[in-house]
Amino acid sequence: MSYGIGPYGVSGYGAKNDYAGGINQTSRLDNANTFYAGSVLAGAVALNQSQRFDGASQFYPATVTQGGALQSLTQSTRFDSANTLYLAAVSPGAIDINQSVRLDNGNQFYSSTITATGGLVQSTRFDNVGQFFAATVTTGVIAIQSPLVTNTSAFFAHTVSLISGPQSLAQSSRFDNSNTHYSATVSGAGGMTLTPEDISAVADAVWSHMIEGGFRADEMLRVMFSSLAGKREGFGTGTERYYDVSGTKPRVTFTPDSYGNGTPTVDGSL
Amino acid sequence: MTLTQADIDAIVAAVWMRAIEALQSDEMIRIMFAVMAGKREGIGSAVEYYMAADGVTPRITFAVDANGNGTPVVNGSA
Repeated sequence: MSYGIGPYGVSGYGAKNDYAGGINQTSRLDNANTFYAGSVLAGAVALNQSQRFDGASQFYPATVTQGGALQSLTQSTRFDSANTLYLAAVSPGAIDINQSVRLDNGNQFYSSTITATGGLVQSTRFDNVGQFFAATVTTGVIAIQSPLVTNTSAFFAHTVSLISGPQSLAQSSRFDNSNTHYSATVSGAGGMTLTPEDISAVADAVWSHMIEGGFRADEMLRVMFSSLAGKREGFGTGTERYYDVSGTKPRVTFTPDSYGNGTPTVDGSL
Repeated sequence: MTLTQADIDAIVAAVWMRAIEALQSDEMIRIMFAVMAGKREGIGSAVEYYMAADGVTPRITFAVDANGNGTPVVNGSA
């Protein structure tokens, strides 16, 4: 049953129920109590303060603004291209939230697939979400136990818990101030699993670290090794030489005085 | 960013398996340790041995001439 809602109605204030109907091209459906199994199609600009949209099959190009105490989009299956879903609780059965621009301040999104979403700002839970593509998630997201979080631009100040099975945070670029990332595989820009290039760069930084006197760590190690275990020549003559591992390059060239004093010339280069 | 244990293991391996010249850095450390703190045998004979921490694996086998010159044979493997 509905009050004042026609197929192309302009406004529907205070409507209670719409069973299995179409609400096409309707511009406003403010303060409606319940929509069961309805389709809200293009042109539904505002659904403000409506409390329940259980079992609705599609919301697209719609702006959904829920402000009442009882807020639910339970079992609704699609929210394609919705502009805003905020202060909403989307429970199991909400399968696709595709191309929605913003899902601000949502309380719970369970078992959903969220793709190409511009904003998930201040939403508190995204448990068991199937996929996040190209989403921006900012402060307030507490828990995500989703198998896929791909191409996401930013996760701020939240806890990410990826559940068992295929797990990926691939190509997600930022996880600033996040509390926990566990059981996650991250690849691509800004990921948590380091690339071979990352690891090689760390090793380069360690061994190129300047220790003293203009000598890098690897240069010092080469010189010390030659003195301790390298080929040695010139003992019994005026100049001693200690060589590299190949036995061809002098690492230390030392011309001591009769007491053994002197300043070695060292070469730690490759 | 929190590194995984696999990341940390990979970094450690990359640092210590870095080829400094013909040997890895960890191999060089083992050999130098043998010279400075390892069991030594053959001193005063024609061939000197400097052993690994286990006391039985020669890290350096050195046939030295009367003046102390020579080319050591080294073994830095784990």
